[in-house]
Amino acid sequence: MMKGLIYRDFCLIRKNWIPVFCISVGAVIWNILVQLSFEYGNFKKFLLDDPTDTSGAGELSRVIIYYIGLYIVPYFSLLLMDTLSIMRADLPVKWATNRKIFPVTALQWTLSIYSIKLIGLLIAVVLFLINGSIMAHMTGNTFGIYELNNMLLFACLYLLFDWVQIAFMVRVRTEKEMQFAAASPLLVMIPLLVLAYPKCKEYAAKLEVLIPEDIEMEMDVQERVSLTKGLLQSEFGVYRDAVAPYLWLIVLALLALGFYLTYLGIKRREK
Amino acid sequence: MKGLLYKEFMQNKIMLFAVGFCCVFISFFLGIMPFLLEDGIEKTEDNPATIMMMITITTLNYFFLLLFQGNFFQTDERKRWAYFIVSSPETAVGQVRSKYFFVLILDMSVLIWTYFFENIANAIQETLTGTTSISAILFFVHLFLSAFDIPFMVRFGTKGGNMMHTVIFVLCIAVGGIYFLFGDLSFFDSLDEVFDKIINFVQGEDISEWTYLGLGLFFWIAMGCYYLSYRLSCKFYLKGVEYYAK
Repeated sequence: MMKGLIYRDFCLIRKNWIPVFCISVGAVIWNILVQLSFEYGNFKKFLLDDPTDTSGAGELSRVIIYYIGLYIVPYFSLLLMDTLSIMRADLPVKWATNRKIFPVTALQWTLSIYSIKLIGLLIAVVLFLINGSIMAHMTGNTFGIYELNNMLLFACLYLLFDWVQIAFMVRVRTEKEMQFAAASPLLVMIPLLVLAYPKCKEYAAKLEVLIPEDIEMEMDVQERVSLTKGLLQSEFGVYRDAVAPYLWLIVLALLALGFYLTYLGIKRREK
Repeated sequence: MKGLLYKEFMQNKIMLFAVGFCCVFISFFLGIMPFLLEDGIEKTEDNPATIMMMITITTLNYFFLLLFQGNFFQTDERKRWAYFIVSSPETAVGQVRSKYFFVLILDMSVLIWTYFFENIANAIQETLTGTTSISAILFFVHLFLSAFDIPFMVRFGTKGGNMMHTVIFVLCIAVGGIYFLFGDLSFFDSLDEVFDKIINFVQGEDISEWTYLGLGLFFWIAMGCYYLSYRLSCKFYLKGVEYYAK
């Protein structure tokens, strides 16, 4: 029964999964190509081997491009955890009502939805590991538990939004309500952005000082590169390190909470 | 035929308005606004910036038309309508012909609009850009691209056609990106020469006879392709009906 339910959910979500998966894999390939260009292509020619560049702008751009490339992949691939489209496709066919003629319990239905979510998370982690390890090998950077923790922080944030969405979604009966439920993460997103704005501004100001505009800066190139690396790695590290050992547990707890909430909502709708 | 064309205009009123609005907005925003601003582009005769601006406007106008083209086909994507029109005296040929004429009329409208706007812009900018030749070339380029685009939309529905758009777009981006990363970018050093060549071409200077011959041949090929594409679409029409959702 579970196999059939998971297959059904895959069929419903495939239209969302295919583009997201293609974009994520495309991002991984693009990152590798960019790093190859830094080794053999135009980026090496124009950025690293530029004789007029004495300020280390080429090295710095490589560092910044590395970090953007590293974290852009989970930004896309975590969207594989989105199960809203399953519930949205269930509405017009009245699956919530029709389910009663099948021997499918609320627990099984919730389990199938969360299996898809877990598979999405696993694919996102695998893509991140592949992308990160290849890029780190090419650039000589370190890649390990530290970067994986950052990715898990992304996942926690995503699950937090998802949790809000589920809370609204289990009450949905019409398409209009569904649209409201789809927009409900904004209720968390906007306050978070407002809270994070001063910190981001401070971070951007620090980064701006290190990116050279004037060629004759007093700071040494290597010193500037290592400072930029340090800033990119550790600015939010204080907050992250405090919870780092428990991040897997937090992700699992958020998943379990969402699971329980969905189960309760489905049970309540049955009454 | 007249009735079907009238139907096209009535059905696509909103999309026509959208295309018209985009064209007019882009034309006025890019073509006139920079010259009305105090620190904008200087009004001088034969200003290369003005000519490049007019070329950009013309290209964008045709791009918008190509972008919205799929929507003109989507309005008739109903099985009931398709079987009705096939059983009527107009048959599938009439239906497809009306679509092709509709696209051709819109294409000509954009050509007329760019010519009309160029005159307005020239009057305001106090210059003579003479980019009608570019507009005429783009008219045939649009016909050429439509000749490949429309049969796909007829055969596989607009969804299939849009899929083809996306695939081509992604392929172009990928090839362009890879070239940017590893290809020879030395032409960027002589970018001024490339711009000079474009401006000379627009103003009718330093053009070889072979260029004229090539352009003339291209116009005929584009028209031929458009006609062939029409004949193909007539054949494909009923097969494409199976892909309609409703």
